[in-house]
Formats: sequence, C-alpha cells, structure tokens
Amino acid sequence: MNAFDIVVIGAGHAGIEAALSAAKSGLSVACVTLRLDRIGHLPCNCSIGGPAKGHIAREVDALGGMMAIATDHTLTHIRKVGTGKGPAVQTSRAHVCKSLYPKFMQDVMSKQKGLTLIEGMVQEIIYDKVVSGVKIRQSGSQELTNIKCRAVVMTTGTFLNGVCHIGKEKKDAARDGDQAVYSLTDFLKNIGVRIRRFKTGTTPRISKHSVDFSKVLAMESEPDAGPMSYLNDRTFEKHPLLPCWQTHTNLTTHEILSNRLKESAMYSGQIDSVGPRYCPSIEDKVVKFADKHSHPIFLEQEEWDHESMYVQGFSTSMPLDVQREAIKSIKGLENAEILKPGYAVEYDMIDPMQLSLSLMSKLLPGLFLAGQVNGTSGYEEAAGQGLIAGINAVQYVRNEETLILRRDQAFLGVMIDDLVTKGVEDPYRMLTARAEYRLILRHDNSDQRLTPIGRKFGTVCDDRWMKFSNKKNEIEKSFLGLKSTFTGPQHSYAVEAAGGGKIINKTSIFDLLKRPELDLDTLEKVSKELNLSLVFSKDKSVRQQLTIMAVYDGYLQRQQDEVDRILSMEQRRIPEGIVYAELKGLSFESVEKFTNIMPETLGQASRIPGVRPSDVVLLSRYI
Amino acid sequence: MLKDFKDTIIAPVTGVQPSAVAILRISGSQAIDISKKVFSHWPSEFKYRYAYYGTFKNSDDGLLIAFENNKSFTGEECVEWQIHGSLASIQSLIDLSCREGARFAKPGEFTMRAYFNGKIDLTRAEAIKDSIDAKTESHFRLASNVRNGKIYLECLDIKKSILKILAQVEASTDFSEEVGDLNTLEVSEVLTLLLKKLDLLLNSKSSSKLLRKGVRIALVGKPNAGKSSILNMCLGRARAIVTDIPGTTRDTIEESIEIAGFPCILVDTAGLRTARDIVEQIGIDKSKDELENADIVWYVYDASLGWSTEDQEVYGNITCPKIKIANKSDLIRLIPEGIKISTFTSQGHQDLMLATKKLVPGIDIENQIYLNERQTDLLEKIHNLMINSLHTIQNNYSSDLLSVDLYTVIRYISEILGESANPDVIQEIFSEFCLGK
Repeated sequence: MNAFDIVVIGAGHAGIEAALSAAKSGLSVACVTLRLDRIGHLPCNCSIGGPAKGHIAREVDALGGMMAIATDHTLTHIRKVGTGKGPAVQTSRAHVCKSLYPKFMQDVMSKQKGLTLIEGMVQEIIYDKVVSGVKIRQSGSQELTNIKCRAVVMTTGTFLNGVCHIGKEKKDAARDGDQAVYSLTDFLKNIGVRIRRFKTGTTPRISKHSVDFSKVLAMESEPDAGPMSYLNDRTFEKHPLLPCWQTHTNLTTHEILSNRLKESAMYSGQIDSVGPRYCPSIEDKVVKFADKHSHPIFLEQEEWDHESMYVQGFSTSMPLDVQREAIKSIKGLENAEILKPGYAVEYDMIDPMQLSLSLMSKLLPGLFLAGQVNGTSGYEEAAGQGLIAGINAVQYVRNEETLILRRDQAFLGVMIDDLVTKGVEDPYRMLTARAEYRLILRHDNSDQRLTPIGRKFGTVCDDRWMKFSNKKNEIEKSFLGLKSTFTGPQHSYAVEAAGGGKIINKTSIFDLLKRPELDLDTLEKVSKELNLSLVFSKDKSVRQQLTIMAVYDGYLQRQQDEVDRILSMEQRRIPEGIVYAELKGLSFESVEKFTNIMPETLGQASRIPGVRPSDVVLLSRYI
Repeated sequence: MLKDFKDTIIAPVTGVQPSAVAILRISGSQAIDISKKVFSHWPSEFKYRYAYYGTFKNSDDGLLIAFENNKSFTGEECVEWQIHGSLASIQSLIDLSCREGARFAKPGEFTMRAYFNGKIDLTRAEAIKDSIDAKTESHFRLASNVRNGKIYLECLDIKKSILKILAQVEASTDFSEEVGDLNTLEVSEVLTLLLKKLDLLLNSKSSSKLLRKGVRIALVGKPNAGKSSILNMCLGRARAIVTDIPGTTRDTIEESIEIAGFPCILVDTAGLRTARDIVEQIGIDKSKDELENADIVWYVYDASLGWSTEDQEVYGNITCPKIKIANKSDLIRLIPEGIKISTFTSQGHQDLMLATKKLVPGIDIENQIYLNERQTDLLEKIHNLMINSLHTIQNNYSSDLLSVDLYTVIRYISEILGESANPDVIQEIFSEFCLGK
C-alpha cells in the first residue's frame, strides 16, 4: 500500500482516463482524490460533445477511454450538431444524468484491476532529480503518509488555490462544496513552474417546475445520432430521452445586467484572472456584443429524478438578486425559481509551454500534468489530456517510446501541440477551426485513425479491437468491390430509371457514388437489378464511411496531399540537448524561443509564434 | 550556403572585367572592421552613408561608403568600395579582406541575405535577378514593376481578403448558434472580385513567357526567294551568305533582334525543294522542324515569279501566326499578295516590323509585370482553387469544404512570397543568381 508505479492526483475527467489507461498497462496505480463520491463529477453542464468536443470524446473512446461509454449508459438527451456544414464538422452533443454518470465512473474505477483508490489530499510531491513519491494526508487522518512512486499525473482541475465568487461574496473553494488545495502550488513554484490565475464560471440552476414550457421551444432528442462509443451498438438510457428547451435573452435582460455590472465579481475588479473567451459569461456577452439584442438560452434537465435545470448560455458571477431578476426577464422563465446561484471560480493554472508533447513537465522528469490545470476548459479536453498523460506515464516508467499524436492524426494532437507550442492566454476550448486537416479528423473516422494506436499502447481491449478489425476489413472489402465493379452505357437505363444521369463511359460503382444524385441505397438496388456481383455491407457505419470516401474524394485527396507535404517536417526530430545559442545565424528571438520551448520536431519549431521562417530553414540545416 | 550565414562576405558587384570603375561590396558583422584595415584614410569622425575618398592598402585609390544595419541592401552592416576597375586591384583587395576574415561571396548571396533578413520578399528578390537578366527594355520595366512590389502587394491584398472569408467560415461552423450561417452571397462576390485581380496578374503570363524564351521567327520559303537577304536587312549587316544560286543556305542560322520590346530569334532556313544532296536534305528537314517550333513564320516568296501552288501548299499548312512576304517586289509592277519588300532599297522593312508587332502580345509597361515560371505556376494553382471554391459555394456545398481550398490558397501565397517555402527551393532560386548580387 505504500508503493505504486504511478500516482494520479484527482479523479475528474482527466484523472479517470489517466488512472484507467495507466492501470490497464499492468502497472500498479493509485488514484488519490479528496472525495470518492465526487469521482467523475459534472460541476458545470451535464453535456458531453458538441462541435470539436464531440470529436475529442470520440477520439478518447477510439483510444480505449471511458468517457463515451459512460455517456451511452447515462444518457438523458442527444442531438446531432453541425449537420449541413460538411462531414468534418458533424458530431453529436449528449446530455448525461448528473447523478448516474459519476456513479458509473465510480463503479468502473473501483473494479479496475491494478487501480487503488485513496481518499485524501496529496500535500507534496517528493523528488530527487526525478519524481520518487508523494506525501498524502488521508481523509479523517492528520498524519502524513509517504507513498513511493515513479511517476505522478497531476489532474487538479480548479482546485489549486480555488476561490469562488458570487457577486461580492467570495469564499475559498474549488467549486460548489469542495475545499481548495494550497500546498501543491508551492511545490510547483519551487520546481520553477510558472503559475497564472484563470477563471471560469457556471450558470444558476433553476427548478423545472417553475418553467412555463408553453413559452419555450422544445428541441427533441435525436436518438438516430447513435451511440457515442464505438464499442456500443446502441445507447442505454434509463427512460425515454428528454428534450431540451430553447429561449432567448432580450433587451430587458441586458439592461438589468448592464445596470448592475459593477456588482459582478468580474467587473468590480474582484476577479482579475482571465476567463474563457469562447464560453463567456452572460455579463461578458452583454458588454462585448453590445449590438446584439438577444442571446440564445438552452434549458437542460440535469438528472432523471431531479427538478434541477442548467441554464446554458447564462454563466454568471452577478449577485444572486441580479441573477434572479435577469432570469425572470427571460421568456418562459418569468416565475423561475433559482435552486443554486451561478458563480465564478478562480484557480491556479500552470504554463503548458513548460510541458513536453508527452505532457511531462520539462522541469521534473516523472511529473505529468493534464486537464484544466494546463489551462484548458471542458470535460472532453481534460479527458483527452488525461488519457495521453496516463499512457505516457506508463511509457516513462517502462522507459519506452512516448505517444505523441500529430496534428494530422487527431484533435488531441492539435490540442496538445497548441498548448505546448503556443501556450494559452485564456482557457483553451477546442474548436474545429483549430485543426488544419479537419476533413481527415472526422467524428465518424476516429476509430480508423486511432484505435490501432491505442492497441499498440495497450489501452484498447480485445472486444474493441475485434470490433474495429471487423469494421476495417469490411470497409476495405466493400471499397475494393465498389472500385472494381464497372458499369457502362449498357447499364445506363437502370441508373436513369433510379433518377441518375446517363452513363457514357465505363464507370465504377464507386465513381457513380460520387454523383450528387446517387446514394448507396439507390446503387444497391440498381446493381441488384443489373445482377452485378457486388455485395453491399449491411453495417451502417461501414456504409457511411464508403459514402464519405466517395463524395469527398477530391477534397480528401487534396487534404491528404497537404498532410504528406508537411509530414517530412513533422518527422524531422530535433535532437535533445541542442544548444541554440551556439547555432550561428539564428536570430536572438528565435534562440530564446527555441531554448524555452525545446521543440521536438522541425514542424513544431515552425509553429512557434514569432519565429522567422528563415530561422527554421537554418535550423533544418543543423540537424 | 545557409550554414555560413553569419560570415562577412565580399564580392565585386560590377562584374569581373576591366572597366573604369569597379565596386566591391562587403557585408556582415565584420564589414566595418575589415574596411578599417584595408582603407588607409578611415575618417576620425566616421558617419554612415557618407562618401570618403582615400587610398587602399593595395595602393589603389577611390571612394568608400558604409551602410548601417537594417538600412543596407542586405540588412546587415555593409560597405562599398569604389576602386579602379583593374582585375589585379579587385583581386588583391579581395585577398586582403579574406586574410582579415571575410569570405568570397557566392552568387546571389547578398540578395539571399536581404531576403532572410526580411528586407525583401521572395518575389522582389527574384525580380532583382530578372531585371539584371532582362534583354530588352520592356522586359526590364516589367521586372522592375515586380521589384517595386507589384506581386508582393497584390498577394498581401488577396491573402487578407481570404483570411477574412476564412474567419467567417470558421465562426459559422464553431459558433453557428451565435453568429448564424455563412453569407454565401457576400463571400462569392468577394471571391469573384479576387479572381478578377488574379486574372489581371495572370494577364502578363503569355508576354512573360515570350520575354523569357524570346519570339522564334522562322524565315521559310522556296530556294532563292531571298530569305537570307531579309535576315541581313533586319540585322543591318551581311550575316548570311547571299548569292543568286538557289539553295545557298544549307544550315539554319539564328540571330537575335528586338521587335515590339520582345527579344526575337530570327531563324533563316534552307529553301524548301526536293533536295539535290544529303547535306541539303538535312537542311530542309531542319527547315520543316523550324516550321513546327516557330512562334511566327515569315513566309517569303519571289514576287517576280509569283505565288505558286507549292507556296500555297506549305503556307496553308502553317498553324502558327504567319506573314506572307513578297520579296524582290522592286522587280514587278503589279501589286503582289503580302508585304512588299525590296532588300535592295529596304523598302517594306517598316511594314514587316509593324505586321510582326501585331502578332505578339502588346506590353503595357506601366501595369504589366514579369512573371517567372515559379510565380506563374503558383498563381495558376491559386486561380484553379479559387474557381473551385466559387463552385463549392455556388452549389451550396458545405462550408467547411470551402476552407479546404482557401487554406491551400493561403499556403500558396505564402510560398510565392517566400514566407514559407521549402528550404531546397530557396537555395535553388538564389543559386541561379550572378556573382555579386
């Protein structure tokens, strides 16, 4: 009990994936958390997915993570998003039950072989050039226990020096009802980590019974969005899925907020930390988008068996009476009863530019950091980092190759590369726009991109691997079939009868599928009629892959060409320990930046902001 | 070449042949120190961009002008020495400087430093070479337009507009609930406008190609029609042997002249007839090849003998632009077909030049630019991608497909300007420069 290979600090979305992926490797892992009943807690909205975040959830799943599986089992609502904006942007947004989701995770964690859960607080990380252990104070005890370990994954979220604000009220806490942690910041400062303050916030919760549903727009679930996890063929909701409801703020709402702006924790100067640019508070929106007369609000039921509703789009740190007045000005919420006020939380985050692409600290070998503490926002972003950090902690302990996903391989690769190479100015949220090769990084093909990698690093179980291999074989077989079955003018009549254009030259079925007026169902019918010896896969996800491969063939090819073009830069590794100051000709700024960031590849070096292309050219000549 | 980026380099910028004056340029961190050691009259109160007269260590005398960091051509400390244009003097000063730590510059190295130090973008660097290589004034003027930033500025402009569109595309995908859908009408208007700009740049493509290659004009016709006489008339000297024996010209002869601002290659060919021997046969075969390769054919016939069916047969089969020339028109009274020429009196010379001018693209020296092959290739790729994106948006395909093309456009523009280019390509571009540039 006093020695493990790896200790994970925290059991939020990052901690869970880190602990599980590390334990799956066969190493002994301890996960230390302040409250076992808060494992997998959802302190903000109970939503998993949405643009770019859905992509990450799928990637975590394809690599053997738990987030999407838990989502499928605790689902209350699901919707497709980004339809009509192209295949790259399409994904789904799920709502999960606030009480069931953590229970599911707690169950999984407690059953995971090789994983020990400890309730307590890590006071200090012990090191001597490399990480060698942690000092823990267990719940209900005043004594400190030393635990030996070779790697630590810190996933402390908003807990470091957390301060919660509601208007002028202020209390030391990491979030609603949870105590903050102080000692670890000192440890981090001692090893040279740069600490900054970020803030984030959440919305008030209102009672479902007090909403006038006749005045808000119901948005029904779309169960055909399918399961989140590749492992599941269906979702496992406890009751019929719930809708979610839409309403809007109006000028009166905005007036109430701007009149009392000075009382907001953000605008009174009480908080001077940086908040999330892409998930602004409602008072921020009113100030920054003053020309907008209305902002959309979504009402999301948090639990199957509870009246509490999350008011998406209304994150705030205004005093409670202002929150109440502003909420009541919204259509449908005239009689809304606030169960819990919205609040903002300030916390310490570390500068991710001091991490390597494996998420290990450049300052202390064996120390990995993942999740919100690295300056990101969002459960999915946290889970993704946790998974990668967990895998790499194992690789570090075993002294084996680290897992680094490239920008053309995964949104996870884009995120970590951004964090480490460019740093963060405000809480980092994933956006599809951050990925340059997003046509390749689709929601639907995450398994094709990543499951083989997860298998190699030991996080993909046999079930998942079998399922993946079968699908992959079927895609390849069907693809070959479509490509090598040809039609000619003699078949044209059948295609035309099905609503297609004339066939003039010898054309493969695959090429016919590229035509906008033909789809796979039609072609299946036609080829049966024509007695073509072609077997069509019955698997929906296989059919989807084939259709995307055909319809977007040209675009996919062009994007792949771009990837191939930069790959040589991405694969040129910069040797460790290079002394940039000694390289003749590099500009002073570049020497400084290269020295600080220590880029691992030429590609990464070229993305450092402010580095001149000529300096990258020069660098390429030295390595 | 790149590894030695911090060396101080020296080379004559005026070429290596005896001349009245030669200029040596020395650039790099040691340029001033070395100059102090080589120039005997270093002023006590030295200032940049002032000329100082004095003697050099090798007993030559002349002027010295220094340019400070960022204000010189290369962007580094740079000194120019104006000395007597003696090869011996040039060589001894270079030797002296190399002993003090300088290195003889490689071709194009000064310009490459200017590019790497951010003084000029790649198109302006290339335009320096293109201006120097220009064979005609028009060529020089068009290259100068590029040297003055015409491609650079247009590309920056296009890039700015495209980035703006991309921002809209991205906002509408990631924040559709807040900002709504993409205004496709507005975007396609902007794209159409940008395409017009590109068309304007690419307008210079064909004249640039002709400026680069030269216009090949083949003189073709039956033996003794007077093709060689016309060549000589155009050159103003007796270049080709002229006799009244049919079939005198056996091998093709090439000479350069300038017409309408283009360098033209006049190709005199053997007269077309059934060959009398193997040598003539080879010559006639070459004439037929020339008919294929020429940009313009001057078809010459003997006006005193009239236009024959053989003439018509050959002439009718010529596919490129062609001019019918009635030579020896001083021997007849009738008005013949084609341009009347008398090589004895040079009558018709002007008419021939005018007629030829009409067959080459007009050059607008104010507005056109000289596009080299690299730039043309990239601009055409951009053009195709823009047409494709317009197609994408007008057919209501999803907006993120639009971004696939537009991001590639941005990359190509960066490549044109040298903001992001393959290191090997950059090396190759500068290796084609002449010494001292």
